[in-house]
Amino acid sequence: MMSVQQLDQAVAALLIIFGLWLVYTGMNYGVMQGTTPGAGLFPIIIGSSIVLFSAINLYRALDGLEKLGSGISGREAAKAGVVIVALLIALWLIPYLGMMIATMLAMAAIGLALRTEPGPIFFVKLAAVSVITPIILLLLFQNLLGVPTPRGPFGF
Amino acid sequence: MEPLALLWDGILAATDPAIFACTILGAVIGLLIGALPGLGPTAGVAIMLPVAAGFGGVAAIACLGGVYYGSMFGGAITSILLGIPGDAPSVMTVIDGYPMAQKGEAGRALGTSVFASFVGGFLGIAGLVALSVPVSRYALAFGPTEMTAMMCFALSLLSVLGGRNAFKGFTALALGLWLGMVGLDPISGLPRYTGGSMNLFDGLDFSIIAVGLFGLTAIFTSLEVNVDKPVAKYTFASLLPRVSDAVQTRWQLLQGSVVGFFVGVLPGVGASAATMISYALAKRLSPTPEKYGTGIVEGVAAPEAANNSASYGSMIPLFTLGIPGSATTAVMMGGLIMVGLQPGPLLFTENPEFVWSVFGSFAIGNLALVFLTLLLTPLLAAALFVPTAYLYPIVIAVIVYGVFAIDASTFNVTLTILAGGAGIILARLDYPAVPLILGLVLGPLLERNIRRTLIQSQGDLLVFVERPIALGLFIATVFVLLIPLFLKLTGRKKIAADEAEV
Repeated sequence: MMSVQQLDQAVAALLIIFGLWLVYTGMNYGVMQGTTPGAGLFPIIIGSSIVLFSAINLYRALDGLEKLGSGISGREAAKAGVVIVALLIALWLIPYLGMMIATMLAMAAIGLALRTEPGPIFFVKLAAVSVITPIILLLLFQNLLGVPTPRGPFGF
Repeated sequence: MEPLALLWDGILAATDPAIFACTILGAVIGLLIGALPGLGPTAGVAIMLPVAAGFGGVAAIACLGGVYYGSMFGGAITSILLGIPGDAPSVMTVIDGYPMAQKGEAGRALGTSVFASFVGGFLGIAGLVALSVPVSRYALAFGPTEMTAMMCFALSLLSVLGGRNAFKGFTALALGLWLGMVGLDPISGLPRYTGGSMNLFDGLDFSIIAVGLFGLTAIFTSLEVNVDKPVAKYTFASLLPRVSDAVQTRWQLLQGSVVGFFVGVLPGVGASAATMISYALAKRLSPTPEKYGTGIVEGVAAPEAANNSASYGSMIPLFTLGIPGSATTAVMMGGLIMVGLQPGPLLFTENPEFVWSVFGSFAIGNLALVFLTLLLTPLLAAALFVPTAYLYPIVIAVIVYGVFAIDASTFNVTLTILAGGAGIILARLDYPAVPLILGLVLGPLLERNIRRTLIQSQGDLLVFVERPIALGLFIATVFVLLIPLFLKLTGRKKIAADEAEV
C-alpha cells in the first residue's frame, strides 16, 4: 500500500503534469490579441505557478524535507471513503426512490460505518435518527422553504 | 457619532422577529458547533450556509454571523469541562481553564469565559463599527489596479501564513485560482475547463465547494472523535460571572480584545493566532507569570476576549473591501453573494440599511449569547457525549438537503461530496484548504481586474506600479513573500494560523 510520503510525491508529480496541461490549454485559448489579454493569459500564469511550486514540493518530498505527521489516520480515511461511497450511491438512488428515502438509507449506512456502541439498542436509535431526520428536513425544505425535492414511487 | 447612530438604527432593525429568530438560531448552532470537538467556526458556517441562504437578506447573514461568534463562545465549554479544545480558537483556554475545573472551579472558569467572550465581542463590534465607515470610504477610491494589488497582498499573506509549508500554500492558491476559471470567460465568452458540461458554464458555485471542503472535510477528519472523558462538575449558580473576577481580569480583557481585533483584521492570521499572542502577552506582562498554566482566571480571560474580538476584526476586510481574510469570512462572503449582494465599499453606500442591520444583529447576538451560554451549558455538555454514529448522519443529511436547495440540483451535491473527498487528501498531505477556497472566491475578480487594467493601459505592465497605493501594496506583497525565507534564516517558527480553525 502507498505510504503518505509516496502519495505526496505522486500528487506533486501529477500536479506538475496538470500545470503543464494548463499552460498548453492557455496557449490554445489565446494569450494576447494585440494589446488585449486573451482568455489564455491567466491559465498560463496559473499553470506555470503550479508547475514551479509542485516541482519544489516534489523536490522537498523526495529529499525527505516534508514532515507529514499531522492529518487524518488511515482508518479514518477508510471510514470517510465508506461515507463518500454511501452518499454517492444515495445520490444515484434519488431518481428511483425519492430524496427522503435515499437520505434515510444513506444515514443508516453512514451510522453503521461509524458504529462504536455494541448491542441491539444501537440499531433502534440509528433507525429512529435515520427515519425522523429526513422527514423533518423534507418538511423544512419542501414545505417551509419551497424547495422542490425529488419524489419517489410513494409520492414523497 | 454617525456610526453609533447608524448602529443603533441597525440594532432596532435587527429586533425584527424574523431577523432576531435567525440570529438566535445561528448563535445556538454556533454554540453547539463550537462545543463539539472536531467542528470549528468555518465548518459550522459552511454547514449552515445553504440553509441560511434560504432565509434571505439580513436574516441569512445574521444567522451565519451568529454561528461564527457563537462558536467562539461554545469552544470554551469543552476546553474547560473536558480539557479538549472544542475548536482551534479555544486551544489556549484549555491551559488555565481545565486546571481550574480540576480544582473544582469549573463554574467560575466558564463564567469568566462567558464574560470575557462578551467583552471581547463588545469591543470587537465597537472596532468594526468605528473602522468600517472610514475604510470603506477610502476604498471607494480604489480602481482595478489598486484592487489587484490588494488582492495579491491578501492572497500572498494567506498562502504564506495559512499552512506549515508556504509552497504548498501557493500550490493550493493556484489550484483555487484555476477552479475560479472554470466556466465562461467573462470577457471573451469562451468556455474554459467545463469539459463540455452545461452545468459548469456558469462556473463553480463557490459555496458548494466551500461546504464540501470545510463542512464535509471537517466531518471526515473527525469521524473517530468520541468523547469518553468524565465532565468536570459545576453548579448553575457558579456559572454566573463574578464582579471580583471581572475587576481582577480587567487588563487581560482589554489587552486580549485589542490584540484579538487587530490580529483578526490581518488576512490569514485569524482567531487562533490571536488567542496565542494574547495569552503570551498576558503572561509576559503579568507580575506573576509562573501562575499561568496552573488554573487562573486571567489565563481564561485573555484568550477568550481575543478570539471573540478577532471574529469581528476579520469581518472588516470582508465588508469594506470585499476581500475575505479567513476561511470563515470567505464562506460568509458566499452567503452575501447568495443573497444577491457583492461585499465591498459600495455596500455601505448602496445598501447601508443592510450593513447596519447585520451589525445590529451582531450586537444583539453577542448579548444574547451571554444568557444562551449560561442556560445551555448543561445541554451542550450532554450533547458532547452523543456518538458520531448518530450525530454525523444528521449533519450530513442537513448538508445534502441544504446544497440541493441552492439550485435544486443533485449535480451540486455530487460536487460537494467530491470536494469533501478532495479535502481529505489536502489535509493528509498538508495542503492548506484556506488559500484554495480564497483563490476560488477571488480568482475571477483578480483575473477581471488584471485584464481590465491591461486593456486600459494597452498591455503596458508598468501601469501596476505607477499608482502609489498599488505600488505600496505590491512592495508589501514582496515582503510577505520573503517571510518564509526570513523565518528560515532566523530559525523561527510561525504561529498556527487560520487553517486550524476549520
